[in-house]
Order: sequence, then C-alpha cells, then structure tokens
Amino acid sequence: MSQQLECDVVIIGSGAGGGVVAERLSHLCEAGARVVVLEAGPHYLREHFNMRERDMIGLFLDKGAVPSSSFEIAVSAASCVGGSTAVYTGVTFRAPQGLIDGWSRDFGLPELSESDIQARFPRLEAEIDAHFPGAEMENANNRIFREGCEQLGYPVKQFRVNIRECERCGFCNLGCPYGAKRGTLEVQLPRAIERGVELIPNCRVLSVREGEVEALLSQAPAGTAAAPYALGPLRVRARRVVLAAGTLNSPALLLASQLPGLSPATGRYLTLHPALMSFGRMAEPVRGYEGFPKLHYTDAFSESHHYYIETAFYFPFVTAKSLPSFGPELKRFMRSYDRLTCALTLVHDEPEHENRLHLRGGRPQLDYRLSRRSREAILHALASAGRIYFAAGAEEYVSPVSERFSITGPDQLEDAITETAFQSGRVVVSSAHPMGGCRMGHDPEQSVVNAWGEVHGHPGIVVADASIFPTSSKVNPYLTIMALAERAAERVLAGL
Amino acid sequence: MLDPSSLRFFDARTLATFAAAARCIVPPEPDSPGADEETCLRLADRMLSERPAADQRLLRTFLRALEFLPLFRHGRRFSRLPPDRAAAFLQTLERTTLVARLRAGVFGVKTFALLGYYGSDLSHGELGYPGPRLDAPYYQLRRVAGEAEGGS
Repeated sequence: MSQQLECDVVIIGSGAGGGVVAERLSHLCEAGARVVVLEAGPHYLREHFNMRERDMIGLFLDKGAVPSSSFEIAVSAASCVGGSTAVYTGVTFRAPQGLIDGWSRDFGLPELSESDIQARFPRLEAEIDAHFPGAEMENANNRIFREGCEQLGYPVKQFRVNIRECERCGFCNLGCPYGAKRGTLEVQLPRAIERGVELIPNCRVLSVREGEVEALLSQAPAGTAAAPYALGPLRVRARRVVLAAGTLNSPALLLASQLPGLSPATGRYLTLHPALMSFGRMAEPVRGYEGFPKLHYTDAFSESHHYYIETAFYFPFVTAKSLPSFGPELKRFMRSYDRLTCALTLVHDEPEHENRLHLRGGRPQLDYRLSRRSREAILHALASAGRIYFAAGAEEYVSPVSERFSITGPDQLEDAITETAFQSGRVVVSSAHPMGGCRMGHDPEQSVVNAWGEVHGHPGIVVADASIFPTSSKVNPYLTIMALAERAAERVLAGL
Repeated sequence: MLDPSSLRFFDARTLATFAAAARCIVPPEPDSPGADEETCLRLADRMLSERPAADQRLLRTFLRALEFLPLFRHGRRFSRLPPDRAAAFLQTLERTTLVARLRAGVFGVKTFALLGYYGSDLSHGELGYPGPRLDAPYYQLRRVAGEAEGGS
C-alpha cells in the first residue's frame, strides 16, 4: 500500500533547475499551497562533508561515474540534495552571446529570446554571490596556467565563481564543508524550506504522469539527514509536475513512464562536454590542492578547434585515474603530487541523433560516440595544454592520451599525443556537463518540450534542467539552467 | 591474509586475480606498499559492492577472463604469474586492438585498484598531501562528540 501525498506542485530533483523552481514557487506555500521536492539522492549538509574521496563518492549517481556502452566516456553526475551545484567548483558562466537566439531561430522557439535570458543573468549572479574573485584568490596552480598562456600569447580569462567567505580549502568537488559555495544546497533550498516547501531526499521517482508521480523512499545513508516520511512506495498527486532530475534521469524517466505520444526525440541529441585532465610537473612545490581550484580559462582555440582549457585540481584518486597506463611510472609521477599542475580541456561537442539515452532491460543506457571533430579537438587541446605548461617551466607533462607516459619537452607533444593512442576503453573521457535528451523545439517529432519546458502533448509536465538544451551551451551550464528554470517556474505559476 | 568471506564483492578467486592486477597497477616499493595491501583491497571491495549490479557483473566477468587468458600464452593463470609477466600481460590487454571490452576491463580494474590505494590515507604521506582539513565542521563535531576521526 503506497503512502499518498497531495500537493499543488511536485518538483523532481533539487539541483540548479529543481532548486530554483522550488525557491520561486515557495511563495505559494505562504499562501497555503503545498510544494514538494523529491530528490533521489541523500541530503548531505555542510557538516556531513568529510573531504575524503572514498566517502564523498556517495554524492554521485551510481557512486561514481556512469559509463557509456562503448566505454568511450563516463559521466559524473551528482545524486544528492543540491544536485551538481553541491559538487561543482562554483564556475558561473553566462551563456555565450548568440546561443539562445540560435536556439530560438534553429528550433522554432520564438517565445525564447536572448535578451530575456541575458537580462536574468545579473540578478541570478547576485542571488548566488557570483563574482570575479580578486588576485588574492590565485593559487600557484592558477598562476602557472596564467603565466604559461601569457608566454604563448593565449588570452587568459577569469571565471565568475559563486562563493562567499571561501576558506580556500580546495575541496569544492567533494561538497563545500564551510557552506561558502552558493549552490542550491546553501541558497535556494534553505529559503524554499523556510517558506514551507517540503524536501524529501532518498526518494527515487519511478514514473511520471500529468498529475501523478510514483516514487520509492529509501533509508537515508549513514551520515546524512533523513526526512520524516515512512520508507516504501509513495504516490504523489499534484496539479503540476516539474521534472528537473538532470540529463541522465529526466529523459529516462519520461521513457520509463511510457507517456502516450512521447516524442521519438526523447533521450536523443545528448551532448556531454567531453573533458580530460592533463598534468605538468614543476620543479618547485605547487600544492594545487590548497586554495580555490578554478579561476582561469583560455578560449584561444574555441572557434578554430572547438574547446576551452580551464584550470582545475583534483584529489589523489581522481588524479591517478586520469594518468595513462599504470605501474612504476604512475607511482613515480604521483609522488610529485604536490608539484603538479592540472588543466581540464572541455570540448564543444555537437548534438547528434545517435548519441542518446535509452532504456535497456528497464535501466538507462547511455550510447555516445565521440565524433571525429571531438576527437581531433581533444588531441589538439591536450597538446595545447602541454605547450602552456612547458612555457611556464614544467619539467614534465603527462597526457591521458599518449604513446608514452612522460613527455619532457614541447617538441615531443605531436609525436606522443596521437590518434592511435586514443583507444576507447584504454582512455575513458570524462563528462560533468551532460545536456540534451529532452530538447526544446517546435516540432514534436524532433524535440521533446516546448519553449517553456512543457512536454509536447503533456503540458502538465514541465522539464527544467539541462536536458532541455537543444545544443551544448559550450560553457559550464549552471547559470543557463537557472535562467531556464526560473522561466519554467513563471510558466507553472501562471498556469496554477 | 585477507579473508574473502569478510568481503562483499570479491570471492576467493576474483580476489586473487584483482590483488595480482592491483600489484601491477601500484607496485610495492621498499618504502611504500602496493595496491594489493589489505587496506586497499578492502576499500576497493567496499566501493565495488556499491556499484550497480550490471557494472559488478561486467567486472567479475573480466576478472574471470583475466585469470585464464594467460594460460594460452604463459601456461599459467594470471594470479600465478611472476609480477613482471603479469604487468606485461595486463599492458598487452590495455592496448589490444582486438577487443575494446578487454581494454575497458583493464581500465575498470585500474580504477578500483587506484581508488583502493590513492583513496585511502596510507598513500597521503608519499604524495605530500595533507588530506582533509581537520578544522572543518565535520571533524569539529566529531571531536565534540568524542568520536574517532576515522581514516584508513
């Protein structure tokens, strides 16, 4: 026998999309309405973040990464209250100028305008304390990257980051233990809860229909906050359903629900923002694990070769996993961990019909192949990162795609970083910015939702996450998700 | 010696194969252990046991194949090969152009061996890595409560 819950709006997911929708609709609660957020993952509060990779892996979907069927790529997606805003570094990019107008023009979305979305960004940035950090925030890892780019004449740009009173502990990607990162876990959700929104963590949604959601409540993992609801099946009846479970879950949930007339595009046209780390070894200590990890990027090759290079620094296991091969050389290089610099290359991939999420045996299956263009971009990017580090004085450079473990000079980059070393399975590209799968558009045959996120043929279900992006945003997507989620919330409000 | 009955993912046979591979991935040195050290194997076992069932099946299947494949070339099971031969065999599989699944299998074993070693505190000293900040709320609260701070 299921527990029953009646509400006005049920929101599935609590990340950049769901958290914003919850906050925007929370005023309804003050007027007596009932708004409920169902989050599949656990509720970690700042005092639960212990900064250990082995434990904080519980913040991620499937306790790690979700590999594609070809093992070419593995996607890291959060599964916790706050979603990916709990585990990202706080990088806050505005959508590039022209992106939204391109979506509007190419996908028949006249209701969606560049000017509307761009106008929302300054207010959203203020809400989450996004700003350009001062020079005092630049640690050695970021300084070395900047100096290398300057030596080569590559433009170095700064990120806006959404932090306040940052302790510079460097553990952003394992959950901010000081609450300085202003994601939905710290900003929108507490406000929403204070106004009366109910948050139910550890609640996995099994199916959605207009007006009804079937879910299953599980035990809260040890060391996380529990919700005061009985475990087991839960049926939620709601006037509106907002689906904000992320690109790996929202399309899968629509497919699993077998909604009549669902678009054949559901799950398709995924873009994953393929990414790889590479490393320089300096003579002097860098201690990249101290200080704020991400401040700079270069878009020197964005137009010509379709990628950005960003600064980054990760913890010992993730660093080791990103090195090529194994054995004594890997162990030797890891012994230089406190002298390493790290960069992340991010490729602007294009939406393709074959790249999709579908159900196999009832479970989501990710089919994704890197295009020729993306593979060439990765090879070019890894060589560029090597040039940056050698220009900054690195003694050694290690690329995950390489014929040899160690590259000791810029003249070796082209011979080492080759297509033949880029074998799927041997190199597993990572992704932290999945987009698409429920893309917006006018044509129900080619798209899943309309310009407001309403599912074609099922306007009572509104999708409000990165799955509605028709193409890659090219940049870290959170602010764009927030803007679109805010729009979706306005639509829901107008329809109630 | 690690008792397989205390583990959740490995049985005796898959543990022997994984331990031999882990020793190739992070080999022991005179001043530091390898990824076949008990603490590392226990951590790898815990993390594997929490993966989706389909991933667990794939890795078990690969470990079984890895154990027997060297019989054709070396006349011995993988877990009974000398370490240098085991490492060379694993590298051959990592780079094979024949079957992508074998490369992915090596990547999977590598991932969990590295997680066992670099995800545990025993490697921090040789990395020069200070580990978590013990002034963070998580540790402060445990000190107040008189709980152990943990670490392996």
